[in-house]
Amino acid sequence: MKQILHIFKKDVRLFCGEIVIVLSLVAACASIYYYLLAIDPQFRSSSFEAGGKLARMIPLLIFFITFAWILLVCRVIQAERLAGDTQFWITRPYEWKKLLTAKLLFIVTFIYLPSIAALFILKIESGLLLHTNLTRGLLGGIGDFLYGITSFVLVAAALATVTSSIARMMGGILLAFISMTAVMLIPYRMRPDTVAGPLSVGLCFVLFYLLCGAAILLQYARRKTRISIALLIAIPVLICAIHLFTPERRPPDRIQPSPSTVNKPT
Amino acid sequence: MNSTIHTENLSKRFGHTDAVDGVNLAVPEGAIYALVGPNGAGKTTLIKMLMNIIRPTAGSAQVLGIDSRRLTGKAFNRIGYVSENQELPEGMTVGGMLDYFRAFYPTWDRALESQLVHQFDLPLARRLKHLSRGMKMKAAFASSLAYHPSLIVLDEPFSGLDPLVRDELIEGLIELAPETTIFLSSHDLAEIESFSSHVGYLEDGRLLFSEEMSVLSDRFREVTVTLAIPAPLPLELPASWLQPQTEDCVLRFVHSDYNEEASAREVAERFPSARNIAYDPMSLRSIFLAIAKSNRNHSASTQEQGSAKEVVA
Repeated sequence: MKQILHIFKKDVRLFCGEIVIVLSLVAACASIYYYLLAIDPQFRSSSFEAGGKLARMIPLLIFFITFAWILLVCRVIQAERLAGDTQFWITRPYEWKKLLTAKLLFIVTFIYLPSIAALFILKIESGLLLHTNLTRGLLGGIGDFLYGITSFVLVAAALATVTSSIARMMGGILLAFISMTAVMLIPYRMRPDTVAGPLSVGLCFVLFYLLCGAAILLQYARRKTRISIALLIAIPVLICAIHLFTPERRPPDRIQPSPSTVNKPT
Repeated sequence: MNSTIHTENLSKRFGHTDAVDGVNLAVPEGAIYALVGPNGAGKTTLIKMLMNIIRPTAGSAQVLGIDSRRLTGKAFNRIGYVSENQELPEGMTVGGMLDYFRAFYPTWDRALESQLVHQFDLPLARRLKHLSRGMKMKAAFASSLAYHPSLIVLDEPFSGLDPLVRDELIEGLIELAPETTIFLSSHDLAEIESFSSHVGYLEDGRLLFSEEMSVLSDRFREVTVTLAIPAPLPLELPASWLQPQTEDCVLRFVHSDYNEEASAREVAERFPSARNIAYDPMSLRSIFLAIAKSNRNHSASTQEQGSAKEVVA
């Protein structure tokens, strides 16, 4: 525990600037939502129009928050870089489990907790919790939020463990974006009459979480960068294969008419 | 005597290249062992295997009685490692780095830390990324000596440093780590000669020899034979006579297996008309140059013979 807190404190000192930026962005976004709630507690689309310029800043702020989170994850993980063999820490008495826990603690403290706190305050302010069962309302919202945030934190963390710099990690994110777009397009192009069902979608998410987690664990435990990269590359390939080989037939009313059918004169 | 480092057929292959090829090495406790050899000889690869930075392809190594493949975490409480290529936490100040590392080592000695900071004239408030290479090496040395490690491993620690910094580091190393085993690789033969107790020579991944410095110095002599009349170089000479060359009446070679009585008799028998025979001690640099050159000549002649055979065939 002592080593975990020691590494955590060092990271907080080293990245205090980045932490302040992330917290400020989250606070700004939450404040705007808070203001919009004050205009319209029911939080309808008209409240966004009434919010004017401030409301229009929300998508921009969310983009900046996401970008700042990715950078923070990358910076904190690469402070004890895992790819390569010239790092100072690999010949020091670090224990990999404690190092990993310290990094998790940092991510939870400065990414998850402030966002969950903001979400919680906004939920209370909107009166949402008053209308529903308190536990169900709270857990439901936080569960959805965690589900969303963990997906890209996991990708960012996995890419940060297999790359040696922020520039390379950004390249990795670009590749991940391209490959995920391809994963969505290829099965649709090849089998337009099918749609991904809940089984294949569920399987894809399990695969995604498992392989990202395995790559991170492998890097921390053994620093096997090539194998970890192979695991990450396998994610889009396997997801594509799942969509292709376990398709569920699209219901007849949802089959898109082909352009030739649409244009044909009756 | 116990070995602090012991390797058995330690090998590392990268693709089709043997970077380290079946190295058997024993570094006695308390020794200052210098691993020398030309560029690309495999010194850094060998050290990285010892430190479990990379894994061997074959063979094994024991470091402080621990299999090198299991050298992680707390095992590094007793090992100090400094390399010319090593990165430091650049965002930290020198003082911040020492504060940070202090908590990792139960045996960290604050008095020794202060002494090292004073001796190396380290600027505690300055960030590591703003330091010169020499200063960074000093900071790395201080952070690796302050916890009284049982073993210090140094990979080309003096490369590219000015003589003043080099002397300061060597001084610090010898003065402040008297009870420690030191294993270092270097090109700098003149520097290591002054303080090493043992030496190993690595070339093309193979350890050509490994022995005590005093034994090595006793074993090598530069022999100068002055003949009465000019004579060509004899065709058949013992294998231990390296780099034979003749000029008028003077024949010179390096005796790699010198023994006062036996060598004097052997040389006198081969050159009965010799007017004078001189045996001069050699510096470490001269010894290694002689070995390296004779190895190159040997491999070149082997290749030539091979080509000649191919042509004949």
